[in-house]
Amino acid sequence: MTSVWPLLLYYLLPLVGLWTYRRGGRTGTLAAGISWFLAAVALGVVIGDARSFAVISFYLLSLVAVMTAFLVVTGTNPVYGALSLIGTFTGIAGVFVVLQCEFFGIVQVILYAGAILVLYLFVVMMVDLPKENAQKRGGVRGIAAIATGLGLLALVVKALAPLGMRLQPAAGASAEPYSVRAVGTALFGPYLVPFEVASLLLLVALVGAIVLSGRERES
Amino acid sequence: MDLLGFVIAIVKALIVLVLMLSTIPILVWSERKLSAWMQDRVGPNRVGPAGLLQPLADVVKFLFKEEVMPQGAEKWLFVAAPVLTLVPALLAFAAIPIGDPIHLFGREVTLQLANVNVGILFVFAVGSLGAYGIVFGAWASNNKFSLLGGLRAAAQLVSYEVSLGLSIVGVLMLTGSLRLGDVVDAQAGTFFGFVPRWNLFAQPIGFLIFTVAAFAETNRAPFDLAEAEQELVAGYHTEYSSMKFALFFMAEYAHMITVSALLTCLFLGGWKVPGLEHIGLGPFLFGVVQTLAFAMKAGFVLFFFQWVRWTLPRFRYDQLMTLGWKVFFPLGVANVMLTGVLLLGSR
Repeated sequence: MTSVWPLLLYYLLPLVGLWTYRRGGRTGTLAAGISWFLAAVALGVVIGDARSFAVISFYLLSLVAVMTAFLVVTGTNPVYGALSLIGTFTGIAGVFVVLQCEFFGIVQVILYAGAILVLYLFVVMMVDLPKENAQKRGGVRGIAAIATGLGLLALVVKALAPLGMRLQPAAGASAEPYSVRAVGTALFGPYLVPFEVASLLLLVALVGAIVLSGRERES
Repeated sequence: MDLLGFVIAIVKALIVLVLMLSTIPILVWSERKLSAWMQDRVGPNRVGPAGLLQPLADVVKFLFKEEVMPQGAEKWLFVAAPVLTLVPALLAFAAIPIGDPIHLFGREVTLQLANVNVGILFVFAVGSLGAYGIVFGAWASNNKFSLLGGLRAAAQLVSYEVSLGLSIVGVLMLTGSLRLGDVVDAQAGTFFGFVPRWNLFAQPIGFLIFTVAAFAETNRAPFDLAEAEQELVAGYHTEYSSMKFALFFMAEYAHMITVSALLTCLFLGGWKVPGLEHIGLGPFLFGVVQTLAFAMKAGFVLFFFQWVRWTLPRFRYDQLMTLGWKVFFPLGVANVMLTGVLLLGSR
């Protein structure tokens, strides 16, 4: 039970956002988020999870990922939101690299940060969304969000409790089980059918999108 | 990593940075001279011998120009965008090897900053992040011409990233590794005793697609639609002045250098010179000749980039999209299939 703090923190975030928005706007939110997370990291270090370089970089990269994810949720400007999301993806990619899954890390950047997000951005800029109204936050919805978050946290804790709640990377991860060759062999070997089904699903979505946009053009 | 290893890593990083940053002014000069020569002009010839000090004068001019920020610009992003463009362009070079490992201070030193086992993908991933700087800068300028340029850059990136990725699949199938050093090693030797064993000859279709997609990736003519000065004033950097503009400008050239080095590694045999091992050079001289060969090949590719820029007119936007999705994408898939069939057949 010693290391559930990141999850706890995660579900307390809406609360922090709500509170600081009334006081200092974006800067205040940012400062609060950073100090909360630093406190959490310090707590983690004290508890004794940080033993090596890898673990320290894991926490630093998580800091980047969580902070930017926080900004995505609390920001009012969609373009800044997209920029923050790049930070999140890059941070997660870094975590993958720390866990010696370089391939996944790089693919994360290429696919999410490089391609999918550019598409989002394209849409966001074309549509020229107005700034989201900050006043809408909080109230009954905020309380409901916190309650849901705590409920989910309870579920996660219950599910994770038998595993011992360790935050260290698994001991066996240091060999090279996640090489490109291994991924390829897995995809085209034991997981061939799920892989093909997923591709089919994407194809159906693609055809669907084209059919829908075509219909609009005719009318 | 011990202290010496750490020092070597820092020195290598500095050398790469200095090399990149000092090649950029030379490229600017050669681009101006070349364009002048192709248009029957003289080009820069006032500052220094043959105008060689012109880039230096340009730097001074950039530094002393007035910085202008348009009203209604997103201040933070407007300032950050040029940096977001330049940093990935410089960073991508980290995974590119420029020679065989050499022996220094009793240890093996790779002529590469980061020997990532997914080196090619790293270059692509970091390179593709460079488009964000352009898009954000365009949006932050609060100018419709800038925004149009930025949107074009985003669409162009998404379209050509796919072809670029597909074009190298054939090469990777021949090599069986994503490590750039392995790709170069696989290109040593010759076909039939006289043709160098370069992927240019083994993968001609892949080479063609990669070269064209590289022009689109670097936003160079004939695919410089994000800039398109005849239509969009100056595209995404319309509102930028002084050193901020210079950063965009440098990023374009840094991107060119990275792409040329990557192209050399993937298709032109990297630092391999066929027949060099038979001459009987000492190990040190051997390494020097190899690295020089790499520089000359990459230099030729850079020249080719400039040559094309001053020869071909710009594509229209719909032509760019059609070419990317309807010509190069199917061609890339066909190339992968063909390579697979040939590989299976030769087993």
